Amino acid sequence: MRTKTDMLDVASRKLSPYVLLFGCYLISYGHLSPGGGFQGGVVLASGLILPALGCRSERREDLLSNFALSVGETAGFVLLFLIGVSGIAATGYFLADPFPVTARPHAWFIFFMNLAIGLKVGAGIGLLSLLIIRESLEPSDG
Amino acid sequence: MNPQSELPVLIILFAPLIAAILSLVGKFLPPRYSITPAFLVWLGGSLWAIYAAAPAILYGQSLEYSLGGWAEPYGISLSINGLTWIATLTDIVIASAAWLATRRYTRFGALFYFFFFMALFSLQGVLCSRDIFNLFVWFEVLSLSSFILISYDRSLSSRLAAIRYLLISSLSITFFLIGVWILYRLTGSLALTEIAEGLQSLNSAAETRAFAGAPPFARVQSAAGLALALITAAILTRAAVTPFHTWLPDAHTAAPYPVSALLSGFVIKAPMIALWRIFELIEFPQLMEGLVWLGGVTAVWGVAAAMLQKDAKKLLGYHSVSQMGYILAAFGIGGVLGRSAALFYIIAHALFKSLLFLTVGHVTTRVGTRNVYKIRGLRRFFPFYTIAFLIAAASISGLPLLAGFTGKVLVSEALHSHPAYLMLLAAGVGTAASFVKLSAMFFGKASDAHLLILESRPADDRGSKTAAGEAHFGLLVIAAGCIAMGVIPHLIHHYILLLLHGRAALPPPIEIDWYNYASLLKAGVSIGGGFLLALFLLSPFGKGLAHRARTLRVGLNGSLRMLVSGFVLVLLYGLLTY
Amino acid sequence: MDKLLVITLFCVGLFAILAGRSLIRKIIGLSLLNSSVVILFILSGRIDGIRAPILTQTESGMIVDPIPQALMLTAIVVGLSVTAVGLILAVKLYRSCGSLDIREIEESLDEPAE
Repeated sequence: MRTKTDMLDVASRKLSPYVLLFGCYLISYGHLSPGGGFQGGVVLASGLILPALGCRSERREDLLSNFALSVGETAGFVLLFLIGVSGIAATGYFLADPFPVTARPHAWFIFFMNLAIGLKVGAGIGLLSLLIIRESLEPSDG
Repeated sequence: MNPQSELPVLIILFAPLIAAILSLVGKFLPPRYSITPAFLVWLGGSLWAIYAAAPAILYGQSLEYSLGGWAEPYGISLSINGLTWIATLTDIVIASAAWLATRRYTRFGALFYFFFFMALFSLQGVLCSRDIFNLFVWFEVLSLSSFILISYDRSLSSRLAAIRYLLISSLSITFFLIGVWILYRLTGSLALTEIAEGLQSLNSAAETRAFAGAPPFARVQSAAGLALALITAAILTRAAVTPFHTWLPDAHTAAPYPVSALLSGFVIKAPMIALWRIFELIEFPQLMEGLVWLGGVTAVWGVAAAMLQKDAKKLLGYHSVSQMGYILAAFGIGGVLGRSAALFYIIAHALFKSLLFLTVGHVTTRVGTRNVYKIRGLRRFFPFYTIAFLIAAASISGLPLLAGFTGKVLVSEALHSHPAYLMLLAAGVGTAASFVKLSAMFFGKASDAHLLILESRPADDRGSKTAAGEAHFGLLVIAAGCIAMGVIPHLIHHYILLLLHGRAALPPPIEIDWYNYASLLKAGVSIGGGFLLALFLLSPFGKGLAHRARTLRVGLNGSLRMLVSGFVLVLLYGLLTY
Repeated sequence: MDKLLVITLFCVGLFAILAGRSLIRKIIGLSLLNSSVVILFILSGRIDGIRAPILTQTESGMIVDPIPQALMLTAIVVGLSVTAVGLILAVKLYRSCGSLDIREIEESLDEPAE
């Protein structure tokens, strides 16, 4: 694991943006096709982890700092809660659709929920994996 | 939305969730902006909801709330009935006391409080859920937050305890899911009321062959029995009933002591209440009979292991197991008296066990060791904690005028003609013995090493005077509860009956002679016997015996095997008796 | 055949949890158990039909039962969280004990003989 070849380095560096893009696609089209917040979020997270695993550069961890991921995760949680509460404000029920039935396009509510879930899952899983990776690279603390 | 009936359910669930969100955001803020406000939001919201729900609950109604506006056959509904109401009240008292103690214990970060309030949120969900898959999700959220709370000390033993709990609880929840699958295939629904109706109509249809292609009677019976047994066993794992209890002593020992108080005080009771809410809808008398015996075995096993322990908190942990046996036996015997006895004992045990963990946890943290044989003479240094501990220890040992005594009177009224009652009596003697052993920590002469530790630290090194005062206030409230349950048991029992059945359908009053000669004699004998047994346990021979017995401990693999064989036994029982 | 798959996965997972001594192996066993239950639910959803459960105006026919799919999405997420917490605990234990063998970890905590 310590020896990273050129191939790994280049592949992970070039692949990562596309994986991130694919994650965004999965999240934003979750209401129309297979995918959605959780799946897209996991793909986003794998796009974040890829450089940390494959790149040889010392700055490989700088794609996103722990702090930024932690903020993203918290924001996802809070957003999801607010979306749920917006249902209470509109109809009186948690997680009910706050948009009128006639709204076009139909699935705004699902779309926003997918965004929040994607943010939460992507940042959460990314943070988790990066923490484990960084921990295993540090010298043992005994 | 109907604010009268639905708002209290919403608030009771949202209060801990909002507190958790405040704590999570508090990661990025100075602690004083998040920790106390979160607590106040939780306390205020929950108390308001309890107050607003009270009138309807006392008339025997239950308040329902459907998520997303989809009513029961399609959606998930959450509800409060009398059982949930009183359990929530107990939960609020214990969690507040534990929260106040965390302020004194050490400086926890905002993230700790996030998991603390997530645990309370999911506890509330377990209490309120009326949908069996939803129950699974609440259980998992509850155990995920418990794993992290348990391992919060970052010590090796706490991490081992957490991963042990993780493996055992996840294994058991897989069986729960299989049970859910069978019930879904049989009845086509996940809502508990629908499942109950579906099982009933399936039974009658199979019996009479009402429609062509009705499944054979025996197959439906065995599938339903299997599913209910799987679900029961998985819930009993969470409630730490023998042989599924092996995770509890380690986990409750390794957790920071305010967390242990919450875990032992309430987290193991919530699954019992979930089980109760399942079986108040579904009939399965043979399983209930089995639970009485299982309760007896649990009570004896827990006490036998507790008496041998050297670690003060582990001793308390094994007692939680044993006391769950009393609750399970009273629950299993059923009927008006059995169920009210179970609820009475749940409240009583929640109060005195959290008091025990808070007092013993505080003093052992200050002394720096948990060895029961080494610590002596704490009375001088912690007069307040000594009195609180003695109230709790006397309660659990069954001394008259305290909560444990009246709880035991109720349980014995419900169970006295059942042979498993003998096991509970035997467990009573062992309980007294191990608490005499534990009380020795507070008396006698302090050893020089401990004197040095205690005198070198100022009295309130871990927090200000106000934090200490607040922690004392929490203990005071719980101790007052213990005494109230011992002094006015008839009133409390009356209210429990009222909550369980409602004012309209109140069963005829049950005359219980709380302080008659027989019960006083029983208490005297068990405490006297316990005293003698404790003298033996504290003698050099007893210590050696206990040490040898402790080396026989069950490892992780052993406890997993115990769990699976327990599951197989319960499954066979369910399969053969439904 | 489907049932055989589920049962095999379940047994392998259970065996890994019960017989393995390495914590990582136990956690993998847990994931296998979780997957076997997920497959069990998903398979039971398609007894009624095979089409994707999306209502359209033009097509009709037997659709699969969408409820098990929705349930299992939740169960997968829960399983993922449990696996993550388990792995983190295992990493931490490994770093303080230098071993993933559960017996070695337990022995390092044993009380000394008196």
